[in-house]
Amino acid sequence: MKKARKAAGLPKAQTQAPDRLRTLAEGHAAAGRHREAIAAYKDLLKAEDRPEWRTALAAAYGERARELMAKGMPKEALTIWENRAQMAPGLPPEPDYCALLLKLGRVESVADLCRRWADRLDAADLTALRSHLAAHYLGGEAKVANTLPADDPILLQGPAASQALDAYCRGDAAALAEALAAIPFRSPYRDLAQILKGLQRLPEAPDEIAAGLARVGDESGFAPLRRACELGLEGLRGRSGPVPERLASAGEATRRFALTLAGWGEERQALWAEVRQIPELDSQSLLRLLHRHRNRLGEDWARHQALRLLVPGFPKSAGWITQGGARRLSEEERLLVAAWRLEERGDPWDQLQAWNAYYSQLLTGGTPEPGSDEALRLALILRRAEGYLGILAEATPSGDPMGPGAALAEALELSLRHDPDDRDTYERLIRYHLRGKDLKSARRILEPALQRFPRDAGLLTAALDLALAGDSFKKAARYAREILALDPINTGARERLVKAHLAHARKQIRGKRPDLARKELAEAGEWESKSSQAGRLSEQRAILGALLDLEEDPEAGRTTLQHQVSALGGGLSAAFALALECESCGRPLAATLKAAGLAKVPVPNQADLGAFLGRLRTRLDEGDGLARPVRTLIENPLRSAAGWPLPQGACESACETLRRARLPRARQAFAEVALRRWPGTPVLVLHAFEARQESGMRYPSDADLDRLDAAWQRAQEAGDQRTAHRIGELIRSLSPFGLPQPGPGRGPTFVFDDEDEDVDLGQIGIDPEEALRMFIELMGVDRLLDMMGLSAKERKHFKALERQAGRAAVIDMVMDLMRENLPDFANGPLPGLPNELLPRPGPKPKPTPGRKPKAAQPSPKRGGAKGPDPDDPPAEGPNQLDLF
Amino acid sequence: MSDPYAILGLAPDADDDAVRRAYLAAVAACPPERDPRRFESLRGAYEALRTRRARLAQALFDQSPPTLADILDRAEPVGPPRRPGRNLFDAVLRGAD
Repeated sequence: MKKARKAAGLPKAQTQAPDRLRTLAEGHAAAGRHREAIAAYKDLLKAEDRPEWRTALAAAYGERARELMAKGMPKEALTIWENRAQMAPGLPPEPDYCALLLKLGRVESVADLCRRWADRLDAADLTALRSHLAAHYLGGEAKVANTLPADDPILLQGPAASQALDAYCRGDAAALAEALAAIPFRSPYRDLAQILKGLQRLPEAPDEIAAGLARVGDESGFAPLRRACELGLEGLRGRSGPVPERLASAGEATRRFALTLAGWGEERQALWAEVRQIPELDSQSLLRLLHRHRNRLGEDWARHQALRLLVPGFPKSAGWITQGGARRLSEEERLLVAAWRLEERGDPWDQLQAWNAYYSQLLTGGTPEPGSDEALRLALILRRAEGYLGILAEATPSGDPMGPGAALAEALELSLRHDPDDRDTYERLIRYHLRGKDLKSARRILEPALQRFPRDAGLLTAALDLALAGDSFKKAARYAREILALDPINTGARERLVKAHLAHARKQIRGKRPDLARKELAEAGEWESKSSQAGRLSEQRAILGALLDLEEDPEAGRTTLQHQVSALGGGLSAAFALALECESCGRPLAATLKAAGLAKVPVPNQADLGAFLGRLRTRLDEGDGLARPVRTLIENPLRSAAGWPLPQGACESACETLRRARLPRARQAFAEVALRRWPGTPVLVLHAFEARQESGMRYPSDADLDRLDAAWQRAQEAGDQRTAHRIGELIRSLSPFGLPQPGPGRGPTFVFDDEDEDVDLGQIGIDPEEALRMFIELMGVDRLLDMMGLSAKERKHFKALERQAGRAAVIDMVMDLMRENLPDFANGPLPGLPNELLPRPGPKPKPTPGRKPKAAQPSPKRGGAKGPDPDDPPAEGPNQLDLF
Repeated sequence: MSDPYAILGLAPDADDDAVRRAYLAAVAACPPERDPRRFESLRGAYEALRTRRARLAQALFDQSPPTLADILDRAEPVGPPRRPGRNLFDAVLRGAD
């Protein structure tokens, strides 16, 4: 028996009193310091050999042995267990000791212990010990039999257990059932029977199987088999993911058992084991692995995967591929990887060029037969940039040479040569050209598309839209009929068809062909459905019919028209509907309204106002604007109707609709009335301000700007980001140099605001002389001279000069004239300009016949503050010069 | 695993019918209610391969790098649960780890 190595450096305790020693030993044991506890108990036993201290020492030995086992020191642990057995021979062996003996292959020792201690061991411990012996016996440890009596159940029932195992392995369910039936309930092989019954049910009911396996306790000799099965089930559950770490780190036998159970074959397991040896599985390791196993994986597959591994580091990574021994990249492969790489960077032009380069490279082998795989490949490459970017699906052709739209469309069209059967490409191109009103290009694509897909509803709809865009109403009606023949409940096509007939009818009315117009109206009536949109179309049809009546028989027509107007409420809404149709048919508006009894359009009541706004919104939503006569007709009645007590939301909505309809005066009226009810509401302040600007008020006052700034602030505080953004943009647009930002206490600055302080253009990096020159350029010399008070004859003279000497020279003259006549200007063309930068007096203009230009009077606010200059010319200039 | 051929257990030259058959068989063997993630992966693979154009596009434009699972699946896909041999049982019973 080996002696356990004594702990070095431990205090000599035997000289201490037993009570003190006992306390010390118990303290160590309780704190998990088993090594120190053993030393203390041994000293204690030297002082006095008490049974309870010996038992405590045995317990400390057991704990220390387990500690060493946990540290992976089985031999050291065994020494400790053996010391325990020697020191306390009367104590039964612990299961962990037996487990260690079995692990170390000392099966006979365990069998001997089992035999010697059978009567004194705890029943549960004995059962566990015997299950260990049974598992080892079944696993081929024949030595177990050497120490057990011939009638021991382990030996007697061993053959049945072995038969059951064999039957399971070969998938013989009947033999398995027979063998399991021969194993009694209290057999040491009972846990094996439990496990085999579960495994037999795989792959069904994995949860039930797991529950059955859980009944095999950790102390059982079959627990390692249970754990291997559980790992196998875990692998089965996560078969589409990586190998679970518990499984990956298991011992080889357990791992192989579990992976096999999870469906892994030998080759897969071997490759996985090889990969496990690679310290860092990066792209380069994978490239080498792919090359090494290319025969098993397939040469082409391995090469293609290798290309994908090069993408993130391309072009630097191009060299990696040869490091594992593979051949270098071909030109075709290089271009493909480059195109993949450029897709990650996102620049549309780069992508387009990369895919075009790859296409050109593939094309060097000749143009393949359309429809072949090679041709399809070419077509797909040409479509890739658009497929990835999706620009043409939404974009409107702009003619911008920097935009990739035209190049993408060209590539798509070219792709149809290689793959003429891709209907989506046709439709995308047709829609793209339609959005750009390029009807010729759209027709070029449509023709082959309809030849190949004559019954495709999507393409027929595109054809219908194209026909409508080209005012080919007959053709549009034909396409709509074809769509409805394919899909009778297609309300979109039905409405398009009705609209096409109505549009055609208007065209016929304009062309003075009432009979044909009536025919179109009749056709429209036949196709009308009962949807809400159809109701509006029906109204339009009725008005058009009434207009035709009026044309053919004025008396009867008046009656019909008045009847229709009455049906529409007889107010502003009806007048608006009638006006729209008059405009579209080229009928005289005033006369028609008079005939309809609407010579003076009435101020709408609240209901009529609601109906009108709804009608207007529908019109605007369809992308149609209002002709000037219609706007003139409705604006005044609308302004008068602004006083109706609409809810706040309806007021805001009305303002927005009037903005879209470009009715600024009506919008201003609505916004101002609403602001009296809800003062300071940001969106209403915005509408009021914008409408005033649009109505003709050129320069806002400080008060206006303050209101706008406060509204911006309130919108921000209320979280109304949309309104805040709109107001902010408006403030920025009003600022002459885009410098001021909206915000609390920071109103925008206006050069031309007569109440503002002067802007020092020199400080903001703008040459005032240049600014003035630009201003005159923008305003025009003639207008400026007019504002300076020059007569038409004098201005004519300047015009002649401009033709002779050029515009720049005339502007110089005008600026000289201003220097001479405007004292403020002479002191500095714009405040803040350093004196040394003041322009020198230039040549004076030739004396003009007639009246001399009058000198400007200084601005009452600016000039007034400075006081009159004794050198000032008489103040008789026109007020317009206050601007300067 | 990202290789749709491996997911559906298909050869690289599989046609529309083969793709459809493989998909339906895979879904029947692993219905969505049993393993929603696997079903999602099957569905994705089917969409990537279901037409000739889609298969060609997948080969041309899919640039996702291969994972270890892809390589393992290519070498030998995971099959149905297998029964470990008697030798493996014996090794585990003896505590050979």
